[in-house]
Amino acid sequence: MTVAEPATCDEELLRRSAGGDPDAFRGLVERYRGPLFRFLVRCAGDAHRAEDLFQETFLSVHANLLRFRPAARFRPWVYTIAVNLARDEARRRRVRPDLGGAVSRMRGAGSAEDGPDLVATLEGAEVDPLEAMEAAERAERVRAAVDDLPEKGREAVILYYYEGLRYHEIAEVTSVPLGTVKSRIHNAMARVMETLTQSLALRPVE
Amino acid sequence: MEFDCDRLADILLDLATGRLGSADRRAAETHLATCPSCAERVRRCHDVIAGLDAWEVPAPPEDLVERTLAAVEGAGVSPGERRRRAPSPMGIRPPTVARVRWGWRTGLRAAAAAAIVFACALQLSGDFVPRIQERIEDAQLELCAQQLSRLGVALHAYRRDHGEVPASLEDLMAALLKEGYVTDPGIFRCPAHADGGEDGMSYPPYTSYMDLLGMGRASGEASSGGGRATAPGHLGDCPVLGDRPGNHAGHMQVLYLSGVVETIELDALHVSMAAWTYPRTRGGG
Repeated sequence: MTVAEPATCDEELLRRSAGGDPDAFRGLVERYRGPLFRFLVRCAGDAHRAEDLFQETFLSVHANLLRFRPAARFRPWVYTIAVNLARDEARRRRVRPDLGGAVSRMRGAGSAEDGPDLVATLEGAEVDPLEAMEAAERAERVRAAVDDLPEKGREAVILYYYEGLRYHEIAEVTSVPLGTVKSRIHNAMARVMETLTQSLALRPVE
Repeated sequence: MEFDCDRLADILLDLATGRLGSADRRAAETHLATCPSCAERVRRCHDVIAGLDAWEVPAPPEDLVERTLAAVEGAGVSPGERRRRAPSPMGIRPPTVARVRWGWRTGLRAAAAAAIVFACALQLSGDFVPRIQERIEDAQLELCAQQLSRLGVALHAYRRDHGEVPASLEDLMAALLKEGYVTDPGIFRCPAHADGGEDGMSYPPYTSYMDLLGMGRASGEASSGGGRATAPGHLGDCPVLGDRPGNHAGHMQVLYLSGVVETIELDALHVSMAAWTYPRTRGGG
């Protein structure tokens, strides 16, 4: 089996996939395995859900290969699909909260992935232990603050910071004007900073 | 370009992440050198970025690509083809129809092939067909359990939002659908018993649950057979919804308030008992 060369752009792989080349499609899935999965974990908050969403994203990509416009770029397109699927899934979860706690079945229950051990990530680094603890606590508060953001603000921050999308790409993915993207990111960051300030009992910036 | 504090607040993240162009960055740095407040904002933005950097997520599973490609293969949808139907739950692709020219040789070959297939089928049918049937029943039980869970959550959410539940089963089903707690009316029908009974509902709520909601036994049409409820020893053991007896051959599934769906094996003698005594253990005990 031949895996597509790294130098082949997404759009070329997509074009070949539409022509029936299974290796090209495999190349696309492999290329996005890491970044898209991590994006979906951050959006969905759960690795199992992220796996399902990842598969659904590429099912949709495959079903719509021939509808992809030649002049468009694949990356914003695949993230658009992923964002819409993640939002639909979040809406379904809001309507159906867990009954009496975690809903489990006798035939095997899925469980949410535990959060990372932030202290463990600092193991081995030559830092002062107290500084390490404070950094870990701050990081955990940042993560909690990002989790608490409104869905669209959180999406915008994740797309901007973790996926490295530019403002106009985020606008395309989320189907809003450029100005709206900038204000969402600006407001989201301001909110996270304010939360961090309050939670760490810092003096507000005047 | 001159920067004031408002301008710097707008480009704060771009500055902190190094995405700002060189001219804008120099202007921003000039402003920061004379504005302690903005300098503090930038420092706290760096704290946030450090926190974002520390947000680790699990790596994707090793087999994610293979499973994704298998799912695409199993869906059986060609590029560009709109899905006109949902994929088969057992992942079986529908057969493709080929055009064949029929002549006497083709007919002879087809007849010979059919005879061989028939002979093999007779040989294998002793255990092959029952195994397939068993798989179908297992798939139906699994789907049924999922529907029970989802219905239970919808019922719980409705009660939480409204403080009460409609007294009649018909009104309950209509309300859940109308207000979006469930979106597919098929969820009320057990996959093993497509018509759901006279009222279209395969999963009537248990009397004990309706009692818990303060509805009493007056709402007989919402009870599972209208029998006396067995008081649960623990609230989580209260049965909420369950199969009508006979939905599945030899099995019955019950959703409890704890969220657990239990599959109960029944023999013919216990089928009529199960609807009345809310068995919580296997074997109808």
